Amino acid sequence: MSKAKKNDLVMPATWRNLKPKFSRKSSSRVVGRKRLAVAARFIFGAAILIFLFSFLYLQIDKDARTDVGKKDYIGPSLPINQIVFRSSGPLNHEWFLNWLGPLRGSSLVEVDLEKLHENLLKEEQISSARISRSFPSTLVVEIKERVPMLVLRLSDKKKGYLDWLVSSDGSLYRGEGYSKGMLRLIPSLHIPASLIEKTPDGKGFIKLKGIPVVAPLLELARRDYPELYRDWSVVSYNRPYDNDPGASITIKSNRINRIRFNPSNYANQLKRLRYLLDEPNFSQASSIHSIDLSHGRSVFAKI
Amino acid sequence: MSKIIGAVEIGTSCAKALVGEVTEGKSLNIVGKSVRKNEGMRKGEIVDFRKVASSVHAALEEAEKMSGTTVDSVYLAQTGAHIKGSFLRGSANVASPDGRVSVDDLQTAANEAKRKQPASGRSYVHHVRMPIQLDGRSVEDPVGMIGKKVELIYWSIEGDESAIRMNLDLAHNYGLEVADLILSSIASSTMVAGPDLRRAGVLVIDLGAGVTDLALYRNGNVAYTGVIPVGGDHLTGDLSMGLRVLEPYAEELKLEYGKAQSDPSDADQQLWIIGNKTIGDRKVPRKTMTDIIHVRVVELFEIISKELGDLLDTSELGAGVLLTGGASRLPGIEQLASKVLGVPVTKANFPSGLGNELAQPENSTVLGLLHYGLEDHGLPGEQHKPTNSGFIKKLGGLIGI
Repeated sequence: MSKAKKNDLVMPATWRNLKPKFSRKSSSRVVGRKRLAVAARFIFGAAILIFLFSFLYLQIDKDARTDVGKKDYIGPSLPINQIVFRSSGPLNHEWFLNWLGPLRGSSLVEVDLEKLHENLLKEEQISSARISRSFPSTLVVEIKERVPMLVLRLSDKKKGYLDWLVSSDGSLYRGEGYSKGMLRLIPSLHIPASLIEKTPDGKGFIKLKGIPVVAPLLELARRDYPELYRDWSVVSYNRPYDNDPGASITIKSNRINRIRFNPSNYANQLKRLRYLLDEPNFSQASSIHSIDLSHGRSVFAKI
Repeated sequence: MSKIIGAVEIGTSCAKALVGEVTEGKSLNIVGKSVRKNEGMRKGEIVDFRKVASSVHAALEEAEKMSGTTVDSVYLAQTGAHIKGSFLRGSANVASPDGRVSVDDLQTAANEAKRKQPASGRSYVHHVRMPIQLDGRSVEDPVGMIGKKVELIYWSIEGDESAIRMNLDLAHNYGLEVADLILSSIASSTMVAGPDLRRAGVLVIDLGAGVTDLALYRNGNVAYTGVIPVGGDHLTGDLSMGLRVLEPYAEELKLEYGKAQSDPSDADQQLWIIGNKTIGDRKVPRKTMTDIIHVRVVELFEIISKELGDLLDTSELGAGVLLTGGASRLPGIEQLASKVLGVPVTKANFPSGLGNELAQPENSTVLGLLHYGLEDHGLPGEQHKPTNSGFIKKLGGLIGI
């Protein structure tokens, strides 16, 4: 027999053993009202807590997404007398000063870092930005620019045509600060007009959906086969998705009229192209009509 | 830091709730009080649980509102004709080799005393400890003293299990823990008879609406407690039948014109039953009314006298008899009681410091509950278990899990 049972046997019957264990039913209106009030208070408290946690979560999430760098909560500071600007691309300090406009003796703490950050990201050329205060009077701005992979020439009613730069994520932007020599080295993009859509405000274009598929080919060629890439002048694609059996990317180079790639396993296709161009017949030819690398291991070439 | 405690008396005519604030210096401030009419009881026992629950819970709610706080646990009064008392004894040999009494020895003796089980369907309500006996000598605190045997005597009060359970249910249903269940007569005598009166020997008679509670003290200790199922409501009932009037009118007549003994001036007096002289209103002779009350009061004190028997010894009752409870307001009742019992009888007074509103005979039990609850009634050197009244438990209690 367990100890507990032995104790029960000798335990005298006192009122403490009669204490009710369960009493779900309210025996008076007062109790019913009280229980309702407690439940309401509990639900209200829980709702407040959920709201606070949600708000906190959203705030943290927002801060994480729009990281404006170190936040400072130090008291009044001096007017800004120095702006440090760092960029990964051609945009420079002068560009930033023009973009920012006159400071008119603004104090460092008066600068709305969040708004500044938000406005910087509205520039299509800028992919991310970090802004911080360096007390007592220096504003530090660091930006990362998009890298142009292609140039898209589009007709314009006023100017005849306009060149748009295309970054690896498919964004189209006019681009500032690039030298003409640098732009000449970037292949052109030639795609059907139906694949180009304007933004709702009509000022820009929606990201090109096919570019993220094409970009790895261009990056790989630029990095591992620069002698080939240097010669590429026009890139076009039609349904460039690897689950589409008819998908293809076509490149025109100065020497080869048409190189056709399948949007998968670019490394192998580029390897085969290199091998083919090293063949005596191809290396000696001044111009090549077409090379089709899109059929797996078979390469169709025509001089 | 202060502590909030509550006291609930579920009387036959009304339910009373008090909320007290105990500060560190053990001083008690009454911060909330409420009285609600109770129509669900007869002779101190519940006959309509829902009506009683409504009264008790409404009183508790109002007292809490008045105090601006909530109560976690309460001291609850228990009375009723089913209550009986008896002495229980237990002893233990001193276990220590050097013969010094330890707390464990006292605990063993206490367990031995309380081991006796009450009859089936009955349960202990209260164990009132008498002075501890060490080798036959009365001592206050024997812990550390040298001796061979400790003996503990308890005046143990038992009652009907279902009646006690219903009483506890009322508090539990409101989400309250019952800190202690205290016999009404002990609670009221704690309030009206101080230690000096108890040492001198005193009989406290609490004349309630449904029952009369008795507590007899000798040498500062409880010598007897009892409940007689006769109270102020019986006087009302007798008047209602004797004068052939409805009970509410009989109650009003009793409160306004009632007295325990008639005097010559009553012979000429006529009393209007309703008082507004409308149809149905009529006059009754005041003497008839007083005679009806007189007979019942005499009968009540005769029952008390018979109940106490030899215990009603004038030489042992140095402080005489104290009357308290609502029915003790009846003019002339102390003289009549003295005549029947044969001992000096006075109406009880309250300790100074209580406001006039509280220091009324009908409040002696509920006030006594708080005072009794504050005192330490455990064994000398005994560790008190902390009461579990956490937030989750409280919430669970309120929502009924």
